[in-house]
Amino acid sequence: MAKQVLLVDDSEFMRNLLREILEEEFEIADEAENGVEAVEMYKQYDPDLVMMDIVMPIRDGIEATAEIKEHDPSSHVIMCTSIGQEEKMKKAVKAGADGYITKPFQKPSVMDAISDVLAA
Amino acid sequence: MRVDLESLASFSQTGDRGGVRAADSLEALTGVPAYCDLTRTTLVDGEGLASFLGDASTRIEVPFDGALSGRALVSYEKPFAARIAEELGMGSGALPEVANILTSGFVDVWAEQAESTIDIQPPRPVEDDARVLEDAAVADGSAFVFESHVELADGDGTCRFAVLPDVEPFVDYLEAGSEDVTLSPGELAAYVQLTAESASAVADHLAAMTGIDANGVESHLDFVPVERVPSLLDDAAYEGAVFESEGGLNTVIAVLFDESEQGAVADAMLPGSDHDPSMAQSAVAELGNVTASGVLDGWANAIDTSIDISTPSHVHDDGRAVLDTVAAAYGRHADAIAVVDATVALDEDVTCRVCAFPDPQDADTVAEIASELTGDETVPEFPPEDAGGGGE
Repeated sequence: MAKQVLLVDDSEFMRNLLREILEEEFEIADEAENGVEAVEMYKQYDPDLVMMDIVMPIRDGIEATAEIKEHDPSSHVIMCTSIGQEEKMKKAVKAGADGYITKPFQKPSVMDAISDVLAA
Repeated sequence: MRVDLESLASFSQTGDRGGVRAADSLEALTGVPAYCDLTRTTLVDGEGLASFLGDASTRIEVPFDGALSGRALVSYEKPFAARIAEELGMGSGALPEVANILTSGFVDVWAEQAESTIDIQPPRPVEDDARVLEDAAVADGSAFVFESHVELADGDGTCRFAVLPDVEPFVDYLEAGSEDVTLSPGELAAYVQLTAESASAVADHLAAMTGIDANGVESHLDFVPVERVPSLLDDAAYEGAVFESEGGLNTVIAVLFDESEQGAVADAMLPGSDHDPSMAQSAVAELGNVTASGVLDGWANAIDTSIDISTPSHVHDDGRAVLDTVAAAYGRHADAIAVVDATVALDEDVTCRVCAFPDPQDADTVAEIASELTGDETVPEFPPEDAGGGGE
């Protein structure tokens, strides 16, 4: 049975791009446009993996990751963001992020990051 | 020898008053209403100087010395030159005299500001641009260029007024009485490097997102009077995204495409799909997001800080209106502003313009970034060293 992925990004274009990359091998549980929706959908679907943008309206991805990790410490969250700042990565680690992909990305780098996180 | 950033900006502002005076003189001479448009002092990579100065149908050189020394280059577009010749009834013979009058308008205000004098020499046509470039004063690989545009009210082309000051007298001119944020020529060169690095990051990210390699990258650093910020763009329609950053550095970044090129950008990012307008808008906003983040990441990593970027605000308006909001935001607490200005051509049909406006109150931070950039920054590895444990 394919593993479930929750896509979280305020950009319709990026959600669409990630869906195209992942849907061959994964089941897309749902798509969230902000951190509040992400936490609600995580609790609803209990997905195997969350692909989480950082900069989003209402609640950002780092806060949402911390809340998901508090709810389910065994969850898997990969930050999927345009931000490539070391200090921001440290904040993501502190929030519990398991992986970090910087946009723009290609399919191999996404699949590699997912493999690393799910195998850990 | 150090340069005060505030003095550099106020040099532009003083020059802007000179531009108004020059336009008034031109109007008095020709009877055609004239006005001063864009005004800025720019730091240009020495190798990019020729491209920055551009082509002109007629170019006149006016050397000057005194409180400031250097050369003014007055470049006339063909319609402007023709109109002036027609109004004055002297053919192209009028153009050197007009250059003389315009140059006086500018240098007089700089002389007044310095409570000194600047003498201009007789104007002479430039026969060979290469000689002008060879003679341009370049310090640590960068050249200062003061630039202003004088336009005729009924839109007959532009007269581009540029000053290439000699470096040491120019730095001395700026240095007087300064106790604010100062930079050595080497640090100023780092400022230019920051601009070039930012433009290179923009080109890389655009190419990665669209699949089209950049075939032309131009960048320079402008110091612009706040009220002239809107004139950095023309009044053509642009579409793109504007971002604000806070944290380590407060900045506004605009990532813009010519409205007519918007479709080509979306086509490149959404190949083969019959995309709806909202998806095309989302694609362009995301392109702006990645581009703006690429610029800010380099800056943040250079000084080991984080810079938070906002979600994109979609803009679709004429260029001046887009930048008007920037001028309004900063006009409350600054007279002049530094602008990192990059233009990336993806191919003949698609050009991206990125303008970053660091908050003038953060000038010391920008100076620190400029001096710390090494040019070989890479995206940091995840997880970063000393990140600490997970689970906050």
